[in-house]
Amino acid sequence: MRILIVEDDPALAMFLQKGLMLQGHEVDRAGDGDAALEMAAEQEPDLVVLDLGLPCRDGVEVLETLRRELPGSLVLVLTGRSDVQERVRCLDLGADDFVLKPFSLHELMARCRALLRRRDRFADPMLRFGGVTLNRMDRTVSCEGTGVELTTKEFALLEFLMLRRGTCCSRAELLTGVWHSTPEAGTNVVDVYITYLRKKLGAAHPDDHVWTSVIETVRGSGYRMRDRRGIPRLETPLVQQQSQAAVELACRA
Amino acid sequence: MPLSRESIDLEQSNLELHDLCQPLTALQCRLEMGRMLGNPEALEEAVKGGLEETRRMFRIIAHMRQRLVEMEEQAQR
Repeated sequence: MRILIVEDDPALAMFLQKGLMLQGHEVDRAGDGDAALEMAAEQEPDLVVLDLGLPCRDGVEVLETLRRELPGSLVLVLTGRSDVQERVRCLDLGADDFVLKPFSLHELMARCRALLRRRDRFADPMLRFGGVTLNRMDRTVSCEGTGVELTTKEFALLEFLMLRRGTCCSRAELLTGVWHSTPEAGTNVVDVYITYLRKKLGAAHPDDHVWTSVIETVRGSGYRMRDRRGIPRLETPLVQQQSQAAVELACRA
Repeated sequence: MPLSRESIDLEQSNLELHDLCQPLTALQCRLEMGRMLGNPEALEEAVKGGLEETRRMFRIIAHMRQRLVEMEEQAQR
């Protein structure tokens, strides 16, 4: 998932970023309110971790703007003030959760996971991208009407890629998000399962090569789903055309 | 309405507590990160960064002590 950390303390921001990146998220950070709003509008993050005490623009103002401009993003507020009024105000302004400083990195990461889980639970069960339809409720997948049988892991991998809607997912992210494993465990398993997925999606429409290219390799980075409309159709090579014609003739004979 | 001395002191204490929370959170996160990664570089980084954060805390505590002395002096007058 894409996370934006808004924290004016550079040391703290850096460690929050590192911690969340270790969990496989794509994390950026902003040091003040103005930069936060600019980056949020540009990136549309899934989650904003927002410190309330910010330079340039007050955190509460940032929270109000985020709620108005990006209603789909989750906001987790960090605050050093323990008074009830402050917490009630934040929640009323649309914060999804808050953590009181000082906090543990583990607690923050667990709260982020819980928020993202909660969001996924209430999300539309149908994911559609690149001509692939994935039903998260009855666990079925189809490629333009043709059903595709997937194993649990293949389904989870495809779901992860489809949720990212064409954004590149690193192997480390996929390992953490799908296998709940650390990147140190090795990334070969990701490549193996991508091959399985490509084969199965390709088999849904064997005459149409674009189905095998729906999952694209981003060299040196990872994988992403590709919208089929963006995949150029290959002309069948002359040699292949001739051999196909020969086969057809032989069959007729 | 002008704020009373007590209200100002309370607000000041609240601010200092907030200031103290920053390095304390950073210290906690640095140490947890060191433990999570577990390699010698990460542990070295955690110790080095941890010492920086404790220095930040010392400065804030020195400031709080100074303010307490001033408050005591005012109370005695």
